Amino acid sequence: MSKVKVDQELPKPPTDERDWAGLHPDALMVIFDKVGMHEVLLRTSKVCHPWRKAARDDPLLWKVIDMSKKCTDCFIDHEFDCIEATVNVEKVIANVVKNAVNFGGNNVQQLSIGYFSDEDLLENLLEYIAERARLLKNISIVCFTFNERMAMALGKLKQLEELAIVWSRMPSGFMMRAIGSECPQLKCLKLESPFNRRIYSNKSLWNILGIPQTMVQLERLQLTVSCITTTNEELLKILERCPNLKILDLHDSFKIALSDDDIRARCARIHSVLPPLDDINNGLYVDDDDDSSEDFGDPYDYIYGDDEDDYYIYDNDYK
Amino acid sequence: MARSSTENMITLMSSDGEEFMVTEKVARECTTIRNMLEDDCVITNIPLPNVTSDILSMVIEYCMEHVAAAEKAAAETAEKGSSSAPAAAKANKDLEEWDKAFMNVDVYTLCDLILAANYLNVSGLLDLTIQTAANLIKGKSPEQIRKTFHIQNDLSLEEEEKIRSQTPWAFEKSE
Repeated sequence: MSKVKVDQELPKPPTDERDWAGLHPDALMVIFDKVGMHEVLLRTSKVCHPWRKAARDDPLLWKVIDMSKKCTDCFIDHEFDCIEATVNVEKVIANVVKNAVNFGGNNVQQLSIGYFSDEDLLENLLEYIAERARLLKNISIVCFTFNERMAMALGKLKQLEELAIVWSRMPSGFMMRAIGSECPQLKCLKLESPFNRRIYSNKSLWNILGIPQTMVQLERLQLTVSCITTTNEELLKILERCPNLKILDLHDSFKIALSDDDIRARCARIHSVLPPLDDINNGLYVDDDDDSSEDFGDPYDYIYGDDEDDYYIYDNDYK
Repeated sequence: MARSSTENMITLMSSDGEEFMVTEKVARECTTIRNMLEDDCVITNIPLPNVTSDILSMVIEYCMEHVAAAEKAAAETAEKGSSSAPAAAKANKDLEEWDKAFMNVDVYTLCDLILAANYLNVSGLLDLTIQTAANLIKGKSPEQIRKTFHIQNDLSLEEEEKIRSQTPWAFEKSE
């Protein structure tokens, strides 16, 4: 139920000139929330000054800014006959994201942006976001190569709790350490790449992640990146460094044998562990019937379930 | 408004001095009035200086319809022991249809209804009016919205040019 906060005395509605521009901002905001962020951003906020101000001041509207490919495709499709063929669509989308962040400012808590082939554009965009959305808690980006400039920009987000980097080749340990030390609140880290990139296969998890030095607050670590080599030893170190770790998904990395008793014992405090697929395939992974682990159900539910704060499921068809 | 004689009647007075007699049950649909009644149970005459008579009569009409629908559903449940799902679904649909027809008003009336629903705190009516306004906004260009709601464009040429240049396609076809 949406309800406008009732001030004891609302301004008396003028009976002669009932005015939609002058409607109480609280009422306008509730209407805008129903209209939705994209539409308010692109059209509704451009009607007049009072509406513009109400849109800007609306704390709910900008809380979650979803500019993932699925969403931007939607409005690009919708408006496509109005967009000139020569227009650089990526630039248009970057502008729209900038506008949204400008409107939202400190109200933005969650932001998801789709793929930009132009790295420069993404770097600029992340810097712009870091300057304006200072209270951002959750960001999800898609790129081929996560680079230093992007890491530096994300490092300015001091309130960042969740970071998802999708599609990228493995970021370097230096970058991850930089993010880890600049973002002390970071609780969830997700690195996901659908590709089987043998070429990076010799990078070890230990070297890649800045976990030894930073990120001690991690509660959720999700590495669905093919071909990271994770050894038992590394896993033990991570478990030691991150006492709050509750969800661990290493399902594409190998060289971990969850059948190892020691590892299993140490993983027992973690609510959900996704074992390397190879172990499942080889029958090495045996789900023990301990009741305590049953309480948390299917581990995939934790990662792909419909938690409100869940990561966005993205399309696999970026081209 | 024929009710059993045991039911309390409340008089609501609009800003222009018109009086409306309603049952306490209908009046209680307005949370603002319900709170007043709970603070002071002997109150029978409530002045509402923020609501005109034509808007107040609409709010009362809405509350009466919804109270009647709820009573009917409760009576059916009591009669059969349990409410039958298809009947309840139909009743809901009927009420939705009624709401939809009720929202067939001009934008000025809609504006007044939003303010009245907010002031009197009738959550169902507030949701309904807000959703109706949102539906009128959706899919329209800024100029179309101004036309629909009779809003003066108070943006300067410069401002408009600046806004327009950010996403020109949200306004019109590019030349």
